[in-house]
Amino acid sequence: MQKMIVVQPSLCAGCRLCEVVCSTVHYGVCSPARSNIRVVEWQDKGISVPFTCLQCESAICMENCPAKAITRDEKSGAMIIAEELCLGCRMCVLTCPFGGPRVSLDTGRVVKCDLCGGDPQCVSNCPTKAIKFMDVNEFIMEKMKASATGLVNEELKQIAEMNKNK
Amino acid sequence: MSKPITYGNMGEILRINLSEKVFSTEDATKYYQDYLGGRSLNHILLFQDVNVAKVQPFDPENEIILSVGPLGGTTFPGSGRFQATYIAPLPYSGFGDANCGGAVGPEIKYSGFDTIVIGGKADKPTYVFIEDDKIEFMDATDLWGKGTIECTAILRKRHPECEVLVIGPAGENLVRYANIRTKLTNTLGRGGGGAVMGSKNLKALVLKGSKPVRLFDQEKFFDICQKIQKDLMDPEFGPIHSITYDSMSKYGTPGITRMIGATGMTPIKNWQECGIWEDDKEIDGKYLVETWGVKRESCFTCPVHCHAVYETDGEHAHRGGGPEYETTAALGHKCLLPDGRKVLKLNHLCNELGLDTVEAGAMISSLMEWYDKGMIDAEFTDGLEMTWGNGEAMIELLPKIAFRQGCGDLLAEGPYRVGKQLGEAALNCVYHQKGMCATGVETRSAIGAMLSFALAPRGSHHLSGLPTAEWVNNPDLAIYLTGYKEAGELLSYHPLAKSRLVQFYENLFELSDSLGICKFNFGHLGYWHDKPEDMDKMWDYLSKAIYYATGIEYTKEKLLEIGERAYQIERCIVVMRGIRKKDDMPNWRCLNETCPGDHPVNPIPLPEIDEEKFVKILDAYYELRGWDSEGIPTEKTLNALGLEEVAKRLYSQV
Repeated sequence: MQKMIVVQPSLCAGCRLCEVVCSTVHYGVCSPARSNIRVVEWQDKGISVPFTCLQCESAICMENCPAKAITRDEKSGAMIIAEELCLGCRMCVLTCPFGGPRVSLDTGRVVKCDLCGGDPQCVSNCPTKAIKFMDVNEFIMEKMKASATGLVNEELKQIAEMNKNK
Repeated sequence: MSKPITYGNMGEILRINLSEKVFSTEDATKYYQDYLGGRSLNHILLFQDVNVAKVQPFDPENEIILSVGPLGGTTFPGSGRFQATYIAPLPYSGFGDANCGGAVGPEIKYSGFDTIVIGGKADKPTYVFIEDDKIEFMDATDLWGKGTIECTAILRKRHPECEVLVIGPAGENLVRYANIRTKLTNTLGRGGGGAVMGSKNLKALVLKGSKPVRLFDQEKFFDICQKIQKDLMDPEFGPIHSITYDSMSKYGTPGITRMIGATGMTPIKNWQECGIWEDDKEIDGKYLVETWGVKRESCFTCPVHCHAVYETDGEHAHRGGGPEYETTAALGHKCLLPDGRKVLKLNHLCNELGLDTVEAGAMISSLMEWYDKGMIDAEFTDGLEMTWGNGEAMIELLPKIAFRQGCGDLLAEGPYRVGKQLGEAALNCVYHQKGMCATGVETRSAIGAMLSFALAPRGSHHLSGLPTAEWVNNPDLAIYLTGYKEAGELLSYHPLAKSRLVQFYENLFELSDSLGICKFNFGHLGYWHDKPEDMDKMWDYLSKAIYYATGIEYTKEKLLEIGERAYQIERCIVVMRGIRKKDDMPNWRCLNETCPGDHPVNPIPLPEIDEEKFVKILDAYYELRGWDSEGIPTEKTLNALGLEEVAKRLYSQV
């Protein structure tokens, strides 16, 4: 599975619709505190970054789970926590370097982003497309193209100028 | 017995008494049927709690009431709004209400409340920290004197992931046009709510909640929210509807400057001119965004993201939020200041100091006109030459006002009171209604707009009921809303057409403010304004969304009745504070001067308001509302809306 949730902070307007969409589709309520995606904000500077589980290939959460409650869902590529197996020991919370898994306010068990089974609703509802669910290689190529443009900027400008004069 | 589940709303009102440092809660569910929540609920609570005829703005008995509404904090597009209501220091009507975006409204609900009522007065600078059921009174001595954005950063460090509602030095020093702020771009702007907080020694309200908002039919609710979002963003929905999204989402409110300037609506040079200002290139939305814009900023769940974050370079380099059209018009057009960097700096200063940019702009543009006409000299402003467009003088003046230093002590009283002190000729230059200056609208350019500004209980502004259908001038829509095509003709004085039109928008705006959603998306801007069917669609969406959220069925008629009820209470409050027909008349400038300017739609110059014809509209409006010839709601009118208690109090005092 090569798809991931790609975050572009420059596009995020900080509306936090992703949070309430997530809590709605997973838990049937509007509650950012129950969302598996959170928007991290620097309110005094006008910066906001949506962030969620990165679904690591070699998942530290899975490796450290004593109950073997965390497995990868082959269809979506998401790391899934089996609620009935989870001990609520929070080892995954302690070991995850990114803050992916969180403790449910309602059950005390750990919950996390499950990519909505392969069609993440935070992504499809994001009004600014600041979060995308895309092929990671495609994303890499986008970045590469943006960087490579710097090497041929002059040439591109000249071509544009030529076309304008036509 | 456990409490029954409340849908949409949260079921509780939190009351905070700053004098005693205590709090209590009260059942809110009994209000939903007749008031929904939000603004409408605020009105009845203020009326019940406070002796509205007598209490002065800075008395401890005055209250600041904050309410959200059943759609606030949900997936509904633009569900970040909440309403503040209080007895206000700026308008002489004494009525204070303001509506604000950001995410404080939702956080009030996540804390478990529909409403927070703040009364009393703390003995020293205090902030209140609310974390679900825990309410703490914290020392704010170290924050006193600090700016709103700086305080936000400090408080969010102290209480991670909280939402902050905060005043600046202007509020602390009881400047009559001090505001209350949250995040970089959102404000409870008008009427001086910041000074009311300051009078209570309340620096900030800090909220962090973990309670969920439950929906009556969660699946259908989410489905309709998605449909509305799609329609709001649809580039093919209709020309007026779709250009609204295109322009607002890219350039925000400053993007409308030239658009509304086309009818002469943009005021220039302290309302002495209007329309298109040739020199405004740098403070027009597109230029601002393309030159200094960093990114878009949005209120809670809003797809429109009409706010901007910007960064400037040069002498006044800074990073800030906004500005709104109201700010560029007030500090730019009205003061003849075309310099983008300076307008942005002034906007940022107002935000940090906690000053309402509209009234601050009106104060300065009034000073400039008085100076220009020789009514004051530089000595009046501590040596600052108040010549048109003197941005550096403006930058020096704002902190003096916020800290009441030197001439700032008088200027903190606002243009209406300063004008009155200077004499009749000076007061005639102040473009106000009920003591509060107008937002960026030249009201001589549209008679319905004039009517809504003149009537607005808190003073001159567009958010009471500026009738969009008049500005877009769509005959079908005008007939649909009022029965008369004249409702859509800018300079028509048709009494029934104009009064029906304004009443409709006033009730509609009460409604969005009572739901916890943004009126920009539901009537105030061009959305749903291409044809009557679009407006039907809007009503269908609204009544369904409210039903799926709350489980209570409301028809369009029932919803408009809630708006009507809310507006009547507002009127009763200002009537009890002495407002009568004479206060609903347009200001001196509107009645006595024509307005020159450049614009393609309306006659040049715009004629003065015809007093005789205007009175006929007022009379028709009073009749429509069920008011007597002085504008006092009759007992019959109030009783028919179930406001017997309100009627009893009103008639025991007038």
